[in-house]
Amino acid sequence: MGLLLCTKKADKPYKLPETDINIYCIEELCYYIYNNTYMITTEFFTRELIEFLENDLGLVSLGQKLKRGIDYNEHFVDLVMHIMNSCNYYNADEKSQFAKNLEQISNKSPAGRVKARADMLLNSRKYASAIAAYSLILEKNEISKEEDYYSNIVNNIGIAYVNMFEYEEAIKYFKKAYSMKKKEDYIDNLICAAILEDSDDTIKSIMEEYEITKENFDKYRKVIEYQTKQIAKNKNYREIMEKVSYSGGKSIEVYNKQVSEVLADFRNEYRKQFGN
Amino acid sequence: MDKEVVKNEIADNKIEIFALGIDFANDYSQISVVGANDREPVSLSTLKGDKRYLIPTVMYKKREINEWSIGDGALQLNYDDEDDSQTVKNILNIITDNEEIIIENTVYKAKDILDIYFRELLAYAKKILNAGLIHEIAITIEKPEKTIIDSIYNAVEKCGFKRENIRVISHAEAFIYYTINQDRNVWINDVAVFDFNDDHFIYKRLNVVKNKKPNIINITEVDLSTIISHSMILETDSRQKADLIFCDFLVDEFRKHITSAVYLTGIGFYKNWAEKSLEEMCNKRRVFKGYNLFVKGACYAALKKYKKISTVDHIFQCEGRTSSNIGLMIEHEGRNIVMLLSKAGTNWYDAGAKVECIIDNINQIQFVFNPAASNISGNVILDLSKLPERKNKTTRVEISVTYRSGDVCDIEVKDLGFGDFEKATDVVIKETVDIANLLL
Repeated sequence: MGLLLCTKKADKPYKLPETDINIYCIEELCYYIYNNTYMITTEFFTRELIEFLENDLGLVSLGQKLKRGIDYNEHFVDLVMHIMNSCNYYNADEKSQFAKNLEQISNKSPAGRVKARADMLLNSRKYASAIAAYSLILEKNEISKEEDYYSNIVNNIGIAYVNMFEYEEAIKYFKKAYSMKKKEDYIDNLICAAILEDSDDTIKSIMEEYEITKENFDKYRKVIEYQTKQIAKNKNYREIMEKVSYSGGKSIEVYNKQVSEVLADFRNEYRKQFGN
Repeated sequence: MDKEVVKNEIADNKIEIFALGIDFANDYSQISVVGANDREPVSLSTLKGDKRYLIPTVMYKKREINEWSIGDGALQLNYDDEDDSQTVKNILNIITDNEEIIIENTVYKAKDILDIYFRELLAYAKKILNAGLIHEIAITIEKPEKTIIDSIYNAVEKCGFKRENIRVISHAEAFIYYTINQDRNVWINDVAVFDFNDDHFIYKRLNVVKNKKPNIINITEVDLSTIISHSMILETDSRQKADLIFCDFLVDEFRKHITSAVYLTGIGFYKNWAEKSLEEMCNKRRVFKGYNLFVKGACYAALKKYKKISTVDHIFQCEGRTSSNIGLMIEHEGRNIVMLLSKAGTNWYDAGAKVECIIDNINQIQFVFNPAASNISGNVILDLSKLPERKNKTTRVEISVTYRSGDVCDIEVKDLGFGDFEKATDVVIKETVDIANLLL
């Protein structure tokens, strides 16, 4: 906790393959690896990356370790930890925990790893990318010993669609998940999506098909109303609402500028959904 | 202090000048050099065979042509004129006050005047010295302020010097350089210099603080202008009074500080008015009188740079040098330590520092100020709440320290974002620190 002294920043960045992300320094590289663990495979350690580390960041010793590691077929966990240990961006405890997580990931089956990557995309709010990743898993029909592997994937696609406000799509996937496995979580999600869609016909048909009473639906409705009120109290939400509301307390120029800023933030958020 | 420049008699071969010093004042300037033939700085005399070291700081624009004259030549041309319309005097004041001068309907800004003066002065010096390459140059002035320093750097750069070969130092610093290049017996104890001109009478005392490593060379200044003025020594009655006042001051001062040498400089000591005072001074001390202590000190400063002497035998504490170390509290291997940003005793004009850091779960940063000569310290805490809220460790900041003068600095924290992950904003957090007040 404190100020971490930065290392050298490159004039010319290294572009991570298959992403739009430019890396300018070792701290950013460590950050990317730490937060995108499932993206890291042995293929991550390209010749260009090693040249960048040696020539642009002056990390010659690190570059040589990676070269040796690749030549001697070191496990990718070791290769990753060479990078993480080359600076103090993460402290000893963080690195130790990360190394353990990395081991666990490396011990997962291929099917487990690809799902974990898609789950990570979902948790990082990259919903469109998560949907694409899950859909690819379904297409490939990977064999998995994980319980409820496929029904979970279908359910998660539904969750992604809810977060994108596409409730009709979400409802389709929750129904499909439930048809694959009768889990209470899936039906909960289905009911919530139906309430959020706010279509009487949809609600009526779900009530009939799944034999859900009006009282049960009302319980979920109350929960959603309560959560909506909580969101309204959130600092970020209030700041946004203040910016986009015009009540005469600021000039038109200021108001227009603030609205543009909010829209720009929304656009960035939307674009991030497609990121890795 | 009295050796004249010896001209190289080999025709067509220019003399290589290792170091050139200039003492630049409102009334007179002086030049001193160390060349291939010299073991120590020698003063440039404006008249061969004579000891005329003082170059009047005067410029004269010749009528209807774009040519200027400086020094005695300018004074002579001005003498023949009916008025001062072609003449420029008090150049230092012109720079400080950013005045404009109008000659023959042409407006000359302050920096133009200085550019012309240094161009002419250096051309004059090169001609007298038959100088070829001049490696290092140091200019000394009584009180180096930012405006003047900037202007001098720009003017001398325009004369073909690179910035890294130019230095601007105070008279106090020039005094130190001069003294430490004398025999060690001269400065075995404190050393005094009395600088007496028609507009000031300043006493500087040099003492070495030996209980610190490296030793600290400290200059204390006292302005005696309010008790002894130049006009007093022009009249017989007031001259005697001035001598008595001066003598009393010396008795008191030398009782408090053991002084091994005294230097007397400035036109105020041309006349013999200080008989009693001299007697007091000469009691078990070496006393030197001359006019080129500061210019030779500047030349020694330039020579040190030329010789690339980087060892720090002493820390200078004087006008123009920073008085405090400035440190920044950072995290290192799990502990908080103070990283030195700026060292005490550095030329304040060059003493700034810049680092980039990543913020890890803190909302303020701490700067530590401590003077070289004492163990006290003062802290300045900068609040970071104006920075954008982001995930931990995704805010990179540029932290800089810039000096405005020897005792006042600006500290600044600028948001740099975190690469492609977080875009930089234009948030800058600033604070001005008066170091002297902070450490009271």
